[in-house]
Amino acid sequence: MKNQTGQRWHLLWLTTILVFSAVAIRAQQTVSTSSSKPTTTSSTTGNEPPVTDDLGSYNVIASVEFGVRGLSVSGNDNKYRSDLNYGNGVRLFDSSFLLRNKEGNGGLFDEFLVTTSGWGGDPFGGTRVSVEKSGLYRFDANVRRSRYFNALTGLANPLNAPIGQHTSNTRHNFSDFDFTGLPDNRKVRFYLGYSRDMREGQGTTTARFSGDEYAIVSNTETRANDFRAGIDANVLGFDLSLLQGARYFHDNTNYTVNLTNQGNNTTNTSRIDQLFRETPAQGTHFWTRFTAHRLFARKLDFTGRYIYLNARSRYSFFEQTTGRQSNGNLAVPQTATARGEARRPSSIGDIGLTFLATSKFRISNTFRFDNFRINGEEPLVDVLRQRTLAGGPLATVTTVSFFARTTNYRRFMNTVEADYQFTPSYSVHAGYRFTDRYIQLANLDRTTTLVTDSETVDNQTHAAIFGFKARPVKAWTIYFDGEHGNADSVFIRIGNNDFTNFRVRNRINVSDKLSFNVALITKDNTNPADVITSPNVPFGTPPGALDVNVKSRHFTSSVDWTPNGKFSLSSGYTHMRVTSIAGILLPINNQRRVGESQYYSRENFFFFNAFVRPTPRLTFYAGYHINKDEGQGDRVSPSNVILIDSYPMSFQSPEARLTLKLNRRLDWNIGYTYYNYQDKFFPIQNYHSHLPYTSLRIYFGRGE
Amino acid sequence: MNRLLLKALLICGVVAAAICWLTYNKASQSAEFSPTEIAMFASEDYVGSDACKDCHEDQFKAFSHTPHARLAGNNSWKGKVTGCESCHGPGKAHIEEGNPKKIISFKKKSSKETSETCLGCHAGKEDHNNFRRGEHWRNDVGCTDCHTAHSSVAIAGNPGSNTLISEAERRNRDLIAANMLRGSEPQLCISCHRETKAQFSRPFHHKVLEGLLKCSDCHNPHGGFELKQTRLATGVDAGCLKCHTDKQGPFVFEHAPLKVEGCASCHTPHGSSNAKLLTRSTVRQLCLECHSNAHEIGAPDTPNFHNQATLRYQNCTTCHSKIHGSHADRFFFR
Repeated sequence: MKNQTGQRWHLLWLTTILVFSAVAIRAQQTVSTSSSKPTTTSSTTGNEPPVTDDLGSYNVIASVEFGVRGLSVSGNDNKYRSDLNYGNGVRLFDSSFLLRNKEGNGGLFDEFLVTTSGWGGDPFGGTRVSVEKSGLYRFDANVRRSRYFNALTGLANPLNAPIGQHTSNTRHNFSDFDFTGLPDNRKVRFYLGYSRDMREGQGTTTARFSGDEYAIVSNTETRANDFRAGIDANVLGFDLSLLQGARYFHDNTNYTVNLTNQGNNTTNTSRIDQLFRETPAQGTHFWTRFTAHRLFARKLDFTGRYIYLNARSRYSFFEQTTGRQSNGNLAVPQTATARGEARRPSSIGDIGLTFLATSKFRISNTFRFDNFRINGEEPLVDVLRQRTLAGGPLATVTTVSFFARTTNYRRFMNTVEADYQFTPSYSVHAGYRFTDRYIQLANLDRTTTLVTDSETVDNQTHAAIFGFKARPVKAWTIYFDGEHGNADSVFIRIGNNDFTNFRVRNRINVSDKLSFNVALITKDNTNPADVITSPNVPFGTPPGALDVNVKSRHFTSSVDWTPNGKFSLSSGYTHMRVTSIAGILLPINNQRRVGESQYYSRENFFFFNAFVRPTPRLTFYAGYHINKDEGQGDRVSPSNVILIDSYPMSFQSPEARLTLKLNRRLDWNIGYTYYNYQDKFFPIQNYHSHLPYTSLRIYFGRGE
Repeated sequence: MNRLLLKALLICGVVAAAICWLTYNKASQSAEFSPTEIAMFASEDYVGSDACKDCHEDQFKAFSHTPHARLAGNNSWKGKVTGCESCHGPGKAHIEEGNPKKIISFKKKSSKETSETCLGCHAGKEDHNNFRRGEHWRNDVGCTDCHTAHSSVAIAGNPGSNTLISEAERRNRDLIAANMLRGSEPQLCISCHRETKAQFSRPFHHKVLEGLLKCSDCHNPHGGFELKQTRLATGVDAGCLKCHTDKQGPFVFEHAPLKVEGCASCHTPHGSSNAKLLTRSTVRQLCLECHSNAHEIGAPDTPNFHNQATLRYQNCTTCHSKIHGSHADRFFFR
């Protein structure tokens, strides 16, 4: 009796809380001026129109921050460089420069904007340029660079050495230039574009020779130049777009060994004394994209697109190796050569239709067809000149082989969906996606014998998509969507077969100064395997032993609060959880055994950013973030057929900065950033680093 | 049992009543003007944007700096309605009567209805023309959720991280104003897609938070025909290959999933603890999960001599180093 009474009061109290919460949120509407728009941290300083400096008929708004950064790394310097790679010394932290014509009608340009960041001690940086003459042209340039350093313990490390055998120290420079003629014209617009991609530097990789693997030096050099030209036009009510592109690519990477290398396998006698390999490849990719769009009678929206690509790679291959073979004889040298090409014509066609049946109800259908075919050949000549260890002559062995490969792929995909808007605050959508794929792989290998092989995969997938958006009160918006699908077979075992995904997001904008975000994303994927009829599976394997099950859960929450121009706080927490259990066949001591591959991620992420401005001239910023993955926890593999893996680690960084406004044009900054990385499985990779810095920021066109 | 059911129904009823009360008077008021009425607006009903300035000075000032405001001086727009009335309809009646209902207001319109106004001009560009079939549209996220035609953009003019997003990009309202965005990338995108901030904070990640890349470099926020609204590179290829040019091929010996399933079958592009952005912490687990052929198709089995009990065979790419494709070796050795 007492329990029932208690439950009754509990339920009544819960209901009361719900109702009062709803009333409280509803009451906020009387003061809230925001809708469910993304919130950016507001600032009274940011909203005030700037006082500009003048350069003739142009206003100038500019700033540049330069200074010096120190660096101290304790622990694994290679891991620090692989993760962060911030350097010390003088730096141009960032800059921006805006010229804007006062009348909005300049000579060569109306606006000219340049921004830079990261030049100096940063491993990456860029410069963006944007120039516009209203109605006549627009030019955008984006020049970026990245220094990629990678030297880790856990990567390609069969010898358990301090550093693995796959390392990299390369520069990657990539830039994009785009010119638009008549950008605001209703009838016609022109496009020209150019992009350049360059990668070069040194590193190490591995090569095989005579039953062993060897670390070798790689000298990377790749280049790609992309050209684009196009036109948009409105013809007979259709919005048409034609874009023609071409990529010219070449890869001149080579590989060398100049010092005797005994290899990874200490049980055989093979070694490499010298190696040189190059596979220069030149590729061309010519493509055409045509798009058409029209809205018929304000009711039927039509978009069609067709893209065709003709890709071709021409290569030649040369490898020369001197050393000792596993049978004790010397290779003096072994030379392999090949020359050939690969071709890939491919096309995509899309049609999208949306029927706006009423102002509340819409039906859409999207149909896609895409296909490609890849053909390639390798005529390989291998010449082994050899002699005995004592120097005695041996017969030269010449092997001529020919390999050809074909991949055919064709896919149809159709998505039909509908959405209904009950009110501006409530809408639902639902749809169905069907995919049909046909994949054919054909091989031809001619060595001492001729072997051909071919297999085809015909795979269909059905997926239902659904969701809703609800805004019970102005300040609170809920987004929910889900997808459930299944396939009759898969091409790869870890691909989506039977999957169910959900996503729900809550955005609560109490006011334009305070907002909350809460979201949950779940993904479940199951790929059942056929163990009964497969000849590769050991007899007696129970059903389900080779199934694949992957579950992931993401929970995220955050708060943004900017009560005034003197204080701001942003903080959040995310939990990411992945559990993957896949039955596998793995060879143990020359026997194929049924086992399991288990992967766990239990990652927690927390961050906060805060700034406070106690006086108009003094600003203090502090930030902190931490990623911590507990990984598999206490789980330990009970046998060598059960693989349990994860990446338990902790990566955190507090940061603080003090800014003193000296005058209208000058700020002085002093700051400090700390990084701490802790690796549970490879503690040799632990490091922590200190990065103090000081800088001056000079302004042109800033108010008092 | 019946009592429990009654209690549950009572609670649900109270909650439903509360929701109904909260949403009272939320009936659509988006149809102040029907499409028929809009089509019948006469040219003499338009008064020009300067007339709006007297009462809506803040919006006018913010609007005057946008690309929309410059259309009036463009020859191809001569004779067309530009300025405030191109979205809000003719202003004559609204000014004469001072009646807010005599002008098109978007305050109570749904995201889709508001977006239809924008799409009236912007649907024709290739970047936008599939917006009605994209993820944002499907989930009722409209144009004005990210863009603003005339609101004062609340820029984060306050200091922030020294390494995450440069000050130039954070402070520079004009960089944002070029696309009339409400905020800068990636903060604008992360304001909804919060889980990506955690992914981009992992040790190895694409440098989005640092400003080297933008969300829109890989994704088209306006929809598209690709799943996840990803962009294409060089015509039909995945957007990854715009920068990772050495993986494009075509190769004589293709690693089929790369072209058939896509890069995301092995990689998690936002961020990973694995240095190669793999979906598993070690490469051998990733390989074995496919190369365990219980089906009659697909990846070949791992050969028996690849003894997984020895360290030598636990690093697949030590031998199979050209795993994205090779011209020279069918087993991707070189």
